[in-house]
Amino acid sequence: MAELESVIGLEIHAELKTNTKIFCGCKNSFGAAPNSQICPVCMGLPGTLPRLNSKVCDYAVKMGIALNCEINKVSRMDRKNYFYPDLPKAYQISQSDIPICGKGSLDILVNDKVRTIGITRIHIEEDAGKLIHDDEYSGTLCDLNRCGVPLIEIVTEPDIRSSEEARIFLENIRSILRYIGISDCKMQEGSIRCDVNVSMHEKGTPLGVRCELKNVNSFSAAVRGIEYEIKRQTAIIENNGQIERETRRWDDKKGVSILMRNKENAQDYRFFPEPDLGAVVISDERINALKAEIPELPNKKMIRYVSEYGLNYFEAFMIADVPDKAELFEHCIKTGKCSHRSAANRIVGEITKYVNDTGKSVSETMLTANELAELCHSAEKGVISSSSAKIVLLELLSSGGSTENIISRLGLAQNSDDEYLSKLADEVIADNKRSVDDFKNGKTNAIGHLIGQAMKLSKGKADPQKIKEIILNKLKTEE
Amino acid sequence: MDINVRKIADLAALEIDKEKYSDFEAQFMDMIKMVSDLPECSEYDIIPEPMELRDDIVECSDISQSELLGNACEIVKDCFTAPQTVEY
Amino acid sequence: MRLCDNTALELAQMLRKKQCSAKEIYLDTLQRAIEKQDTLNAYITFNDDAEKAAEAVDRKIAEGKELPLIAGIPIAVKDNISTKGSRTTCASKMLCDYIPPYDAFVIEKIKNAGGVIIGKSNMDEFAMGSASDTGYFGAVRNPVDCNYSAGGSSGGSAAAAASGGAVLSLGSDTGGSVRQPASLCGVVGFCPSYGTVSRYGLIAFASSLDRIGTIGRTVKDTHLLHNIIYDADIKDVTAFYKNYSFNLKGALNGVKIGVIKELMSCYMEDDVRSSFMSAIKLMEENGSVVKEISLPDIKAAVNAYYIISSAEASSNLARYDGIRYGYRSEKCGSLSEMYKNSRSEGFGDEVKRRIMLGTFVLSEGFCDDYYKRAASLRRSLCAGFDEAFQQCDIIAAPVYPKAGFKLGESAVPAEVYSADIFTVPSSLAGLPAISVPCGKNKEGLPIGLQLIGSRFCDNKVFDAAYGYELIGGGYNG
Repeated sequence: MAELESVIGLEIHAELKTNTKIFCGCKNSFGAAPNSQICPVCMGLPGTLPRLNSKVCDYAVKMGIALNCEINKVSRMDRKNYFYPDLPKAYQISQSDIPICGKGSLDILVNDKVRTIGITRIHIEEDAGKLIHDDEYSGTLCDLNRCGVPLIEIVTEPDIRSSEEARIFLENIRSILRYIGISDCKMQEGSIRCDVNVSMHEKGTPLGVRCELKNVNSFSAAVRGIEYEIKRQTAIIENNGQIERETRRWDDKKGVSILMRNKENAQDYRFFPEPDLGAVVISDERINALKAEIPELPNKKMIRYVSEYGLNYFEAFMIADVPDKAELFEHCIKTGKCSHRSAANRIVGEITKYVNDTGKSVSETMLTANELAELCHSAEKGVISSSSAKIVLLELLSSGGSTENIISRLGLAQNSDDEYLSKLADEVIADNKRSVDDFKNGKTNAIGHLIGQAMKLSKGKADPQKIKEIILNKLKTEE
Repeated sequence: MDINVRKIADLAALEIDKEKYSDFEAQFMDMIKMVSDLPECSEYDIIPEPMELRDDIVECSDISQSELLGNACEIVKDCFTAPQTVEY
Repeated sequence: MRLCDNTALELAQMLRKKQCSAKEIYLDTLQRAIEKQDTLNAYITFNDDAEKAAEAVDRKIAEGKELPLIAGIPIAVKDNISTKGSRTTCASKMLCDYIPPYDAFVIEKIKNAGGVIIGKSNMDEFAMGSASDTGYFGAVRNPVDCNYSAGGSSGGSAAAAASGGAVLSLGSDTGGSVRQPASLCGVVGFCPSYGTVSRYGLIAFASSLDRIGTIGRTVKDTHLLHNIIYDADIKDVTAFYKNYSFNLKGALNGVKIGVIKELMSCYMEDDVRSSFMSAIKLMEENGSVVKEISLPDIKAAVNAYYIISSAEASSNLARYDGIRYGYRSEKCGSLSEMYKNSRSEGFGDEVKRRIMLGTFVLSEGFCDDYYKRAASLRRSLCAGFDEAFQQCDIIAAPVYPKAGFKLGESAVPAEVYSADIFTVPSSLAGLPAISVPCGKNKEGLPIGLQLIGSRFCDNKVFDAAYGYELIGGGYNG
């Protein structure tokens, strides 16, 4: 049997960070008291009518532009009908036949190779409410605050071939959403969710029957879910079984997918044009204005960082992924005070660690691009040691201020005074007989220990390059 | 194609009385027969009239939460209630 | 003659001449409504705040303020139009305790103009029917002969206006629900162009067809109320057409009146046909030019109408699930049982039939042959009307094939639906149309003449109807 290949398509739902909901003037906010952000429209009271928020269209078009989609200047809203307690009107206003954005594509880098993933469409729709399962109540409680929160749904072609590609694609989408400023992408608030379609086939043969995986609430869950589905389907095929068209629910805690619906009891959503709304019309001027608002996107940045600044792909990705990291990097370089390398090292290293540890974003720290440049400059020029530089950077991140002031306040300026260093070298040579003997017996790396001791004695202030030269000189003259 | 009245009732979340079922089914089929006489259509792309969009500005409603929740037959912890949902 | 038997315009003059007070008008109209309630059953709920509203008008008159002509006029409102703090039932068990927390746009307009809402009028459940006999609160009877139906679905509004239990009424017209009961009760009923009156607060039956219409005893009265509610509203994006003032002249001279060949070949009672023909003849004698026009698509209009209206209804009425408002069954174990039991106990048979039909025509495998074909026919019908209005100014047609029918006469749904052939074409095309009395049958039951205009030419329709009224048509209750 030829090797099976997995074929994956994604449907990504992202909540848009507009001020108000998609069809009414209620605040679009997370975490408010139950049913405190509702009005007759979003709770679906009889007689109410929706009014479409222009920002939602703008944001969807922006995403469409970022993903090279055809923009439909005239699109239509449709009703998707189904009963569930989180859906007050018993239909979701969405787009079916004519979405706001049509075909597009996104290039992603997988193992340093470019892969093009086709985008089928992007459409706008409303979110449903939240169901709460409470210990003190036997039924389900319905909080409708989230009803009418605007969503875009990005649907891909079945162009993804592995869970790794899916992860990279999702990370790219998240990065773009942040860059164009249309979604918070906070996983814990459920602001990005996805459905995953997985099928298996032998290469060069038609695509297999797909299964849809619902309830995938994080990128890592998407990876796990896809891997599980690949294994499950492979096992069936290898046992000469048939894959059935199914909708399955991903249980990330248990790491299994569970059958929700098969072909026989598939949902029939009975889509039809939403009669309470007119056509969504986007003018050429509006599209051009939105185009102008789109910054350089992360994929382009990454490639530029590699070719212009000589960063490797990992570093370039780490910096370009998050808009404020990239901004810090680029502003820092613009000062002309430091090398690309040292700025990149600090951002990928200490700064990334700091934001990960504190949960802050780079822009929420006290560090400015100018001070990062000053710091890199001081370290490059040997004004401070690399260990001191770490201390200063931490101070800049947490409390701000200027590099110069922090160095002098903490007394971290590196000592390169010849007389002091000579004395220090004598002290180290006298106290470390064994290392000195080792060195004389040809173990040249014993010098490292001696330098280390010198740094320790000087509390990190000795210029490491200079002290090395002095110790070497003294040892050689002693011979 | 076969028309499955029970399946349609399920989709509509309606229960048809067992005693009335055969009457209902006959009547329903009559209705379908009546409306099915329509000319074939070659194209289908309904584009409604363009609409005006709303600015993204918060509107404060003067309707209180108690008025909005007041028509529900049960409210628990400021929430509407439903029988236990089977997670899906 | 009692106060309540005057027209709105007469009462407006009397108020201004201080010949009566708004409170007196209200109390007299209410008294008539209550006297007739047992026989007609025109109302579901009387408005407790009406007297205060009338008193407020009297205060303003005493202060010498200038008020709209509608101020102090008692108005019946169909019970599918939301009234803040006052129950709005749609004549359904499902909503029999529902209290809207907001006013419909048209209610705001009437209240601001000083109109006195006397009560909420009876109707077919969720406006689905043509006899006002499908509702939870019983059938509405015809004031002309209470063995007969008042028509539907706005039967309560028409019966109230015809009997003096209201001076003016609001109804809703999805496929003829204002025009047909107006015709059967012998009053004037107007259905505006789709998109001229905001639907905000009108409890939806079929969103792309629903329109709020006005009922009065004269064309001018009907026009008066229409002018109050006819305005653009940001809350309804499908209602974007702005009002402009227009004085009715009643000019018939040179007006080209089209008569649709295909409609004239449809079944109608002899009395209906002869009344229609003499009305046309009368207009012709007064300078109008009558032309025969052809609209082949019109034959399938009823089918398209029932498909589209039921499809939209099945979706619009899905929200009644017993969770946020409305009836919830006592018997609800599981979620699906709660849905099914609440909806099956809360809705009546006609509503269930339409929901079933609508669900079917949208369902997988059938949508193409039903819903999409209907939508396509609707579009070509609109184009046909556009072409027809190149040849004429107004289209004249009967309103209903019968002058009336007795309540309780069992009828097959499919046959009842077919009788809507004269009203649903203009519903599908969103055209303004009016029913104005044009005669009576042998039993003395009124018959209406329907005049249809091109979209947004509502005033032309009013003017032609007014012209017809001036030359001898119209109300003679």
